Amino acid sequence: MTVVSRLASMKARHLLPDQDQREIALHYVIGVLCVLACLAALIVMASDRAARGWAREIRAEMTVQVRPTGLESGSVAAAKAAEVLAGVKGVGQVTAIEPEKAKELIKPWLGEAILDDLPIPNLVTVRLDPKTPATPKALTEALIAHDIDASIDDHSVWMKDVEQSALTIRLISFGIFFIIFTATAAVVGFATRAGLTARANIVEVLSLCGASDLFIAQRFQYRFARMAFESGLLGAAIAAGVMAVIKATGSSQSFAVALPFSWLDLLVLLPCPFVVAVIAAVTARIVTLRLLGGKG
Amino acid sequence: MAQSIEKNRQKNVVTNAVPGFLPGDDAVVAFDNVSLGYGGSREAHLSDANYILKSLSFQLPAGSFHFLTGPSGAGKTSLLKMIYLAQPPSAGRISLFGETVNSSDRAQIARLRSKLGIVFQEFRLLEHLNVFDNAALPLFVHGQPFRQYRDDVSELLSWVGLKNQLQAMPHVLSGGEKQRLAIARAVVTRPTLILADEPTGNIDYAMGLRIMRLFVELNRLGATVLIATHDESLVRASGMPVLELKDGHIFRRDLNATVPS
Repeated sequence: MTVVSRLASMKARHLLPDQDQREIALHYVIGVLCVLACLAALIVMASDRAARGWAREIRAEMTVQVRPTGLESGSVAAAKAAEVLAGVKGVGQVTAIEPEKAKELIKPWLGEAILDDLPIPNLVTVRLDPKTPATPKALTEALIAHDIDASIDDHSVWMKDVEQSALTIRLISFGIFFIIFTATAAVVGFATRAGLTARANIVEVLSLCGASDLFIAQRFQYRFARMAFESGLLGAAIAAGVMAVIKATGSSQSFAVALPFSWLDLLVLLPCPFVVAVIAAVTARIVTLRLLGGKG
Repeated sequence: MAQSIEKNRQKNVVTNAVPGFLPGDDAVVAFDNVSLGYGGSREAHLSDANYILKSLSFQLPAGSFHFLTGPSGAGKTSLLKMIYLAQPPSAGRISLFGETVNSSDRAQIARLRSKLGIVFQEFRLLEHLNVFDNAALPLFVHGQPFRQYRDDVSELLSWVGLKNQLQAMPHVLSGGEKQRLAIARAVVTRPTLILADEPTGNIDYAMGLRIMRLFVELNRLGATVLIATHDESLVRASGMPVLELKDGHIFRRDLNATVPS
């Protein structure tokens, strides 16, 4: 037995012939599906991070609208409220917003012309201690104790919207995941059927040599798992490249705010080749066993 | 029930005029009133004219050597297919190695086929594997490690005259070489039963004789051999017993020729 024939005999481990044109096309299709799946995963991560960031920002602040009593001016009432609120446990920074700044804030919505005729609210922004944040109830009780007429907005209305949006994005992304993975399984199933048909002669010879259905299924399982793994690897690499380009070039500021990618997000792409390989292997196995089971 | 089967068996042995095929415990293949009609298996409604094989009852004792002859379309290949479990009978019972195989599941079929060596007229070699790998295929399928079979396979390929072509691909082999490779693949597992369908159909007479000697040698080593052929000259030259299919029935012919040396 020569070394050459020993090496040649290793080919027996690859009982199916090398891939043909159809399998190259399958490579491409699975690769594209994996790019989409990986981008969906990155978007889930980024949108989740964005939603958590917005929620954190909203939770970290409360706005107090002060209504002056008696003859005191709005500015004085706001300053008094700010002083009281600064003494409440769990409050970090308190700022009474100057009337001019308040005008600046509402100018984009109402325009400059009518501003002088409008009563400008006397606002106090309360930045909470992130570790032990004060509750709206504690702030209300402190203001009542000092006879200050005010109402507190804890931004809970905005929180609901943000949480709802984040949940919607997550659900859509998971839906995309599901569709992509079922599409991958369908494509592999179709390719397995085509592969079995194209190699019916090989399958028959193996069967006549005493190969069990499981043995034959394992050949197809291994073939499609390897192919899917390679496609998954390529897909993940392309998706990582797309993310890297977006992050490195900065893209537009609004894009970065909406989808704040992190380099750590790339870790989520690591399982992609394995997941798609498992899907392909299981599908190929089931389809092969089912098809062979119907033959005599 | 058992009595009825035994009656039928004896009746068919007589009516089909196949003396010497009495039931025996050492039968490798046993056909009991087996019929085959096309249009689906177990078609009770088929008329007699629809049956290609009719109420066949015979046995192949262990270690026997038989030719299966008959005109084209007589059902030789169909009979072999039923033995190697690629075609279920329409009626009757087939036993292989003592097991009834009419309704075998896929696992049982795989297990029984591992005891068979099958040679096809069209070789059925795997074109993407070299000579060595083609010959070793059944061993690989049965999970034998390469180091365990490499010497045996090389020796076997030497025996069939292919020792200088271990790495050659099938498409460069001549018809005779392909047939010898197919035979090597069929016998590499030392099967209990060797079935060959027109093994000399694609090769010249001299090569045919050489291949026949291989089968005779394998038979001497203990394998039961059944060869379907329409090559009467080879059959006569071998001097081995003949089963002849005619009009759907099976008959036995004995020849008194000597095995060519």
